[in-house]
Amino acid sequence: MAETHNFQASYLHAVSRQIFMAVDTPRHIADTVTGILVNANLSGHDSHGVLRITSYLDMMANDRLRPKVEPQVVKETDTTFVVNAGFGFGHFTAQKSVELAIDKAKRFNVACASLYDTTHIGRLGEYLEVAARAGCISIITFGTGQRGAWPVVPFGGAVGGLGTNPIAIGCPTGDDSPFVADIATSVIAEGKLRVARSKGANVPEGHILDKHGNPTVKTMDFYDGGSLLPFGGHKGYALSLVTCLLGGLCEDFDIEKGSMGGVFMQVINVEAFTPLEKYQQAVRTFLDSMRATQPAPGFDEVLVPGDFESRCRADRLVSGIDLPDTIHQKLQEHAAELNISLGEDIVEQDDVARYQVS
Amino acid sequence: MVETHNLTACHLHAITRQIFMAVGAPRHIADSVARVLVNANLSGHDSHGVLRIPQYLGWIADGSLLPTAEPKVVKETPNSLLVDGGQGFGHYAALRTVHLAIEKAKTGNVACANLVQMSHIGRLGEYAEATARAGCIGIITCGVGLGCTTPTRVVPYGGAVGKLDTNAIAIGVPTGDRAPFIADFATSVVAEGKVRVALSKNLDLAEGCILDKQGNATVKPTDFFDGGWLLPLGGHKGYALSLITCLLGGLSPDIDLGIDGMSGAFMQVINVQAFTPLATYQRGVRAFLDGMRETPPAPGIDEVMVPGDLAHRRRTERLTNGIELPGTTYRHIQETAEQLDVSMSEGRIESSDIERYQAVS
Repeated sequence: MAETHNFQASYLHAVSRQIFMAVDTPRHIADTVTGILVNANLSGHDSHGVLRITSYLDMMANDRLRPKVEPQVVKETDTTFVVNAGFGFGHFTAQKSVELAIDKAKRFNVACASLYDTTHIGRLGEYLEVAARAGCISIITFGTGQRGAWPVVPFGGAVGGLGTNPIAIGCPTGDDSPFVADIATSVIAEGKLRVARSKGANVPEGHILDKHGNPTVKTMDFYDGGSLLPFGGHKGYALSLVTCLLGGLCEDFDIEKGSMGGVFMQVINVEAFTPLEKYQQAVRTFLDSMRATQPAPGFDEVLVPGDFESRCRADRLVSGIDLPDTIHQKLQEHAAELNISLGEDIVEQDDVARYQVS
Repeated sequence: MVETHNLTACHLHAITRQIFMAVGAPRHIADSVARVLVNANLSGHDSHGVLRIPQYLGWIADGSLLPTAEPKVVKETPNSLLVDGGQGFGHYAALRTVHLAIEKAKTGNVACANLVQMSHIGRLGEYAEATARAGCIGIITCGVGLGCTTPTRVVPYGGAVGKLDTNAIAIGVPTGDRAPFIADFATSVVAEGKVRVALSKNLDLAEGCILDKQGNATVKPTDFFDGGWLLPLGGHKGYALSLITCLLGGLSPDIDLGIDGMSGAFMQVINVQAFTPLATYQRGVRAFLDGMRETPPAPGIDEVMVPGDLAHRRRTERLTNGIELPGTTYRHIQETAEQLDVSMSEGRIESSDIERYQAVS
């Protein structure tokens, strides 16, 4: 058993905020980024949680992440806008952008946004949940592509050209469990391969190719110049390309290199079509009937996207978040270097209120 | 050798139009439906082509498809549109809807449309292509969940009973050249048609395509036709996408979950010009997609393509060489034409039909 340390969400929030503020992040940005990281931990997506703090600090040290930058809307119509993220915190940019898109959708029924020069924007589900709570359906994609670069092969290719380009869609349900689907367009993410490598394990068939483009199950073949496969063959490949094509709407492409990518957001106000209450009721009935499906042999139950996250969140708000010792040590090192206190007294009333069990 | 009959696209169009007009469809509707069907054949999606004619006539005969119905816009804002298909031809309703959505996107930059209460809408790529040709990005979905009027053959991920249809998603992006980017796929691993083909050839399917009636994994096509089910694409990922097609399709307030399920078509049209000059964007898109095509192919693969390439090649080829119809499909159409006293003569081809399918020079 790896050693873990258990923390309340509010405490982790305070620690993370203090660290970001100690490296010149304004408080409102530090609070937003921290809220999104801690929410990722609460939702069970630890790979997008406070574990990332170290890499963000490294990026800041190299000037690849600029903690003070506020995103700028550089082009705007009633229903569309383009955001220059200026290499500030991607989470903060994405949060501000989804809020603006929701505001536009509330007035004009639908809105689209394209974001460029973002850094890491964290767990896409976060922004879907914001839109769902506002009574909107949302679609968020994040694509990067360039021939010969990136780990995922185009369908039929021997060499990678695409990122793991996620596509995320959220829908309001009117209860504590919004519909949140967040899928990478590769069969598996690189993070899972890292776990397999650390255990010396193979991966199932159909996940990766070796450097010659041959199918393999040996994890090390990936690290020796291999690549990842798109999920569902040509279908996942098509979706991955779409994330790049939507991302490129903000003119984030290079014709010489053949590169294209960026963040795209689409928000649809349900009320433009049907009364929200009525829709949410139908959605709940529909999703409940999926959950009521008799499970196939080998499965305990049928879930719908978002169930896993809301269960984790309910559990971890009460029982706290378990952090592996390695991550806890990293946080302690950062705190020591930055000369900040990790005492319980750094938790403010607002922090406690933010993670109140509902 | 399987017996086939070769017909030009304009001839097939004229025959199809005559047949639909003979069962009461007004000419403009018959023309629209014929166009969508023949285009499906041209692009190689024969399962969505003229093969469907007898099925549609059956629906017209039993009253479930009303050939004269005009779709009605029941709710509208500058950026959104709710359309009732009135149980008419889905192809016609979808063409009307996508054109209205494109118009709205041209003035309001972005538009969404929900189309419900229509019959089969055919190949979604047709409507995605219409958006791309208008300089817009189009996302088109068609979902059926829990419906009792349409079969639900696809299981939710982890389930042993089907509750979803093969719910499709199509996305079109303008490229500025003759082959727009058109992705068009079902959210099941395979369509029922593929299982039928395997059965007819007495072949097993690949693993991970179907379940038997108890929900166990199987590769035997007979297990599927004995009450089995189709699996969603990529496990939970295709399941999530399939649910989304239902959630987007079910935006109409008039949907009765007990009868229609959470079902309908959804269209999202984005005017590229709202973000960036169209010509610049299309140059970027072509450079990006060309980069993908230049990827060295994996062993055993001839070349790397992008979505839309194959359909464009087939279209070019079939516009020149004609459309090969299997003997059974041809005979069904022939029998239908005879019953309705419709002439299959090439003399019924009009000059506008020829123009419609002019080979691209």
